[in-house]
Amino acid sequence: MGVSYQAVGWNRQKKVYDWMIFAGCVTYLTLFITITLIYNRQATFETLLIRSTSTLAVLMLHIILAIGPLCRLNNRFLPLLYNRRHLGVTMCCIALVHGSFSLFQFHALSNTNPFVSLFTSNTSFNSLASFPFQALGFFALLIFILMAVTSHDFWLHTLSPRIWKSLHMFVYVAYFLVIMHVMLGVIQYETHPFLVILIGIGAFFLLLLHITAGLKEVRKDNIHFDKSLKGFVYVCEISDLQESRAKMFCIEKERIAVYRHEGKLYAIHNVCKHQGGPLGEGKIIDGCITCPWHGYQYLPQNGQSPPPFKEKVNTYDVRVIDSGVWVNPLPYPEGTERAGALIHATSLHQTAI
Amino acid sequence: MMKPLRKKHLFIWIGLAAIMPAGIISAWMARPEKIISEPIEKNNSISFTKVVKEVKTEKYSIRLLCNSDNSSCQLQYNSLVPQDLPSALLYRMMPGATGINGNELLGRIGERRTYQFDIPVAGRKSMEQQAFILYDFIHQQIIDTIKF
Repeated sequence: MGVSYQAVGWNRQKKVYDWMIFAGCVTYLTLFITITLIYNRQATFETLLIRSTSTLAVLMLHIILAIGPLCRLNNRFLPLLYNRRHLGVTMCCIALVHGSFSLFQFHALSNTNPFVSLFTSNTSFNSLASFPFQALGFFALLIFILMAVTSHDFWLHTLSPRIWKSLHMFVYVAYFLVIMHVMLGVIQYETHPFLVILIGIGAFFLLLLHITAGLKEVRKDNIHFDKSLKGFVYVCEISDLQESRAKMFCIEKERIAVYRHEGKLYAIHNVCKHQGGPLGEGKIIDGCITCPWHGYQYLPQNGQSPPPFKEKVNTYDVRVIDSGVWVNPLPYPEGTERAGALIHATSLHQTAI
Repeated sequence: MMKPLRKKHLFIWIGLAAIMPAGIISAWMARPEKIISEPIEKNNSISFTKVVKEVKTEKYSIRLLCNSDNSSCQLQYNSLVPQDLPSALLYRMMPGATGINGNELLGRIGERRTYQFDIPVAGRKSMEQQAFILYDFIHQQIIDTIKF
């Protein structure tokens, strides 16, 4: 967590994550180059580099895009999300190596500026088979570079979360461009369907994951809470809440996380100020609600990050009536202190009955 | 994530579900029947010794070779200097061909080395009158036309 621009704060988890990324990349590149040389001894260094980095970047892009929905479907994938941006930056660097060498190999050795050559050497926009696929890769790479450059929290704060998130959603455009770059490029010279089957499986897997996770979220949002009393809405029984954990309820368009902690219930807005992570899927660590995405923390009683950090979220009133949990969906201003609802022994007794 | 953002994500993926399969299938179906990236170098391990014709430029030399009874011929391409193009295709010019695709593809010229391509024999006289095209398939332009 940072209050101003500073270099990436490395901790043990991040180092382990990054070493795993590095080891994975080196292993893949070594395997790819070795296998290619076994089957094609005449392959040149440039060809090996261009092909190995391209396939690695496409593979990494699929992994990166799968992490989000996997986490929404199963909490066990959350550790992958923790440092996803490093994976993204690594993928961008590998794609940049592929792009640079391709530009050099195919466009640099003439009198024409390589970038001009990239866009003017092939203008068959009306033909799928001869489509200027390199331009698609170029624009995808441009998006990846923009995303990598703005991946630091400094840019998140400077651009505002809304603009930052909108910019980073261009990854879906980039993904489509990459798939078409492959399909209209290398696939046009392939006789064997192996590559296209791989691409098809990857795209199908991602579409299935994202749509399944998205529909699951829609179902959560569409649960109706009918029982209300003086502005409070019945959401669940006390026994439904585990100690230091929360449940999320979408009441009147936005999600509220209700936490149970040390004999009390607290309700805060579910959306983390950092990157919109689901606070209700985190847990209370050292007395602070901890976002499962990147570890941002908030105090349950006032929705404020512990000093010196300044993030704040809305708080809500909670009541315990008999064994039921009732929430008032009217938010208090961000960071407002609320005492929390005491869980009486009688409530627990009623729950047990 | 905020609810509108969750919705936006879902709509984007529903949109991708519509256009991605269409894009992948269309691109696969659009593949040209003749794949030009695979070199067609036949029997290139054995060189014929009889030189029928030879053309030499600053960048390459091309020789038309035949076996002793002229029953089989080869075109031998030798790069004299490193190419200023990553790779090029070599075509045999066919009579009446319009555009590059009407000609016969012999193979691909890549790194600096000697290439040999089998070519059909159609009488020595016609052999000597044959012409070849060196074609840059990336920029889609003819680099050179070689006539014996």
